[in-house]
Amino acid sequence: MTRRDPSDFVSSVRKPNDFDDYWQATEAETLAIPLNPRLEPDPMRSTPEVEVFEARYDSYADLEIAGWYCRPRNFEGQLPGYLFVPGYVSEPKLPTDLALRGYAAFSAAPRNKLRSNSVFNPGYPGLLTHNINKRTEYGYRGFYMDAIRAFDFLGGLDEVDSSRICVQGGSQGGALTLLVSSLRADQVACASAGAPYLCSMMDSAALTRSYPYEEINDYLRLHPEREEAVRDTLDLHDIHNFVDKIECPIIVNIGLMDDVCPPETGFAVFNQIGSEDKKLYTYEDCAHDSGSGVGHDKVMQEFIDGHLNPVAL
Amino acid sequence: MNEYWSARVEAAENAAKGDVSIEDLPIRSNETSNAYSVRFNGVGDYPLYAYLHIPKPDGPHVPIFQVPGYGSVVAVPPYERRSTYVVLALCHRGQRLSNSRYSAAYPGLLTDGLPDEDTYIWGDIVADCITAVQILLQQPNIDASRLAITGGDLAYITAALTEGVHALQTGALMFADIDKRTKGDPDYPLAEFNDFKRSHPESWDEARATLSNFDPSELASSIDANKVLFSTGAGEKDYYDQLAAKLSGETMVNVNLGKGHLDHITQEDWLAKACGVEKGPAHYPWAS
Repeated sequence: MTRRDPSDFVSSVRKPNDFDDYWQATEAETLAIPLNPRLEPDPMRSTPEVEVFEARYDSYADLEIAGWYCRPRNFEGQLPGYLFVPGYVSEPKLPTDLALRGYAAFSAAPRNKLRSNSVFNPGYPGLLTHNINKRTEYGYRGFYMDAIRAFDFLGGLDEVDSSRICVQGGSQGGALTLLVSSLRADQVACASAGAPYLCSMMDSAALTRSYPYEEINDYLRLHPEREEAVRDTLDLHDIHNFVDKIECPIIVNIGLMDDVCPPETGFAVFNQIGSEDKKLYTYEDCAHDSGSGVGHDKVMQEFIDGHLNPVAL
Repeated sequence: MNEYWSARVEAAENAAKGDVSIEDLPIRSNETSNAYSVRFNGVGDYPLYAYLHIPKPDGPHVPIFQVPGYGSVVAVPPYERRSTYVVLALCHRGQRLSNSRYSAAYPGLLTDGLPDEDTYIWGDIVADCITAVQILLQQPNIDASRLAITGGDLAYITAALTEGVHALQTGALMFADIDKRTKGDPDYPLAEFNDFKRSHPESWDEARATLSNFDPSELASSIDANKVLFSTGAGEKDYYDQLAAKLSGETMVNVNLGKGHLDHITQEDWLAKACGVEKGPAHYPWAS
């Protein structure tokens, strides 16, 4: 089999006519719920250099969402903010390393993640296909809002300079990075998205047999008659349809042999990003690691630090 | 095997003699393999869950015990493995699907129950793995002489405590060289040990003694797998070379290139060769 150049891939995602109305209504519904931010010190995880807090806030459909918040113990003035958004199955990191770099760092645990799953808990596998045939009840509707409200939480803290906040994550975190950068386009200072998931979702399921996209193949194997309904739901939630709104400087990295989030869809979403200050890093022979083992972490750190100027401890 | 482990292994093997429920799991079955939900009790009558995948062609097939990693989610085994091997993927106590009585915290699990060796949760977690291996070996249509175990610390420790393991694929061991690797500011999960030390300095010596039960060096003489692959970063190669020298089987230490696709191929090719099977179809068409 001869492989086509993945950069030539054309996404089959369609933008539903009601896309903007749907997301404006969803956001309005979410913003009507008071954020109610809470921070509880966590002495066991705190160090002489870094204070760690358990964070809680309220989000779409009145669900309580958790997160970790870390800040340097000693700082002057305001700190740049760093929103870390998590992958699909991984646990949200405890971002003490980012606080050591001089950031007020928030690591979000959207619904279904541990500590945010007492009400909504479709599990893994499960989240990707939760209510996938019901376009307005799809699990990611609220999940996306949890990421947006995590950004609002961080930006609302007194010690955070709201003009210097970045968003970063890989895989599902890459998707959420693109989402937040789109829906908070006037507030995100810079962003770094790795191996973005939830892009060209139906195409991805056709390109790979790896989970999580395999969840879609599993679902359609049992319910082939629902394919059009599934496509409609996914088009309404596909990150590909958000990113033309992005304005901030942004970097994206992909592995050219990524079986989890096929690089074809990474090229497609990158091309769609609205920002003129954007750069794509591609890594030969890398899979979902997308360059992290061959130096991309340093590239990312320099990019973000260069825009936000933190004072490292 | 020391006293700590001999009692736990006996209890774990006895648990495997209890009732086992195996039900079809159609949503995870596909054109190459059938999927099943396996439910059984671990030590202390703790309810456990595992995925079982059996290739559609008649066997006997090589059985793989795919050991859970450090996190709440146990993934469905990859397409290429499900197509070729009988794979059992356990959710140990505290992980999702095995969390009806206890939910693990991350961070938190690595030090849960320290310092006392009788309350340290990892003793029971290892026992869950030993019970699960015995249940895998009870399945029909497998070639038990080619049992393979894959994963991190739990794979290594389970292999040390289970007779008749043919192939062990492991690496990135959390319990390896703890004193050296917890110096400075290590990332999580290793940072959990430092959190514990800082919070309970008076208990660290006892905790350290408990953790020595899980030390790969201490367990090396019990590993009798015929073939072993350690995958490691360049910075830890010396440690794994020394560990490999203590093992009786044919052992290879492979330094990862940091390129996930190539490193994955190295590991899966090694596993297929060690087990004497043809590798399954790639889960991404360009990844063969």
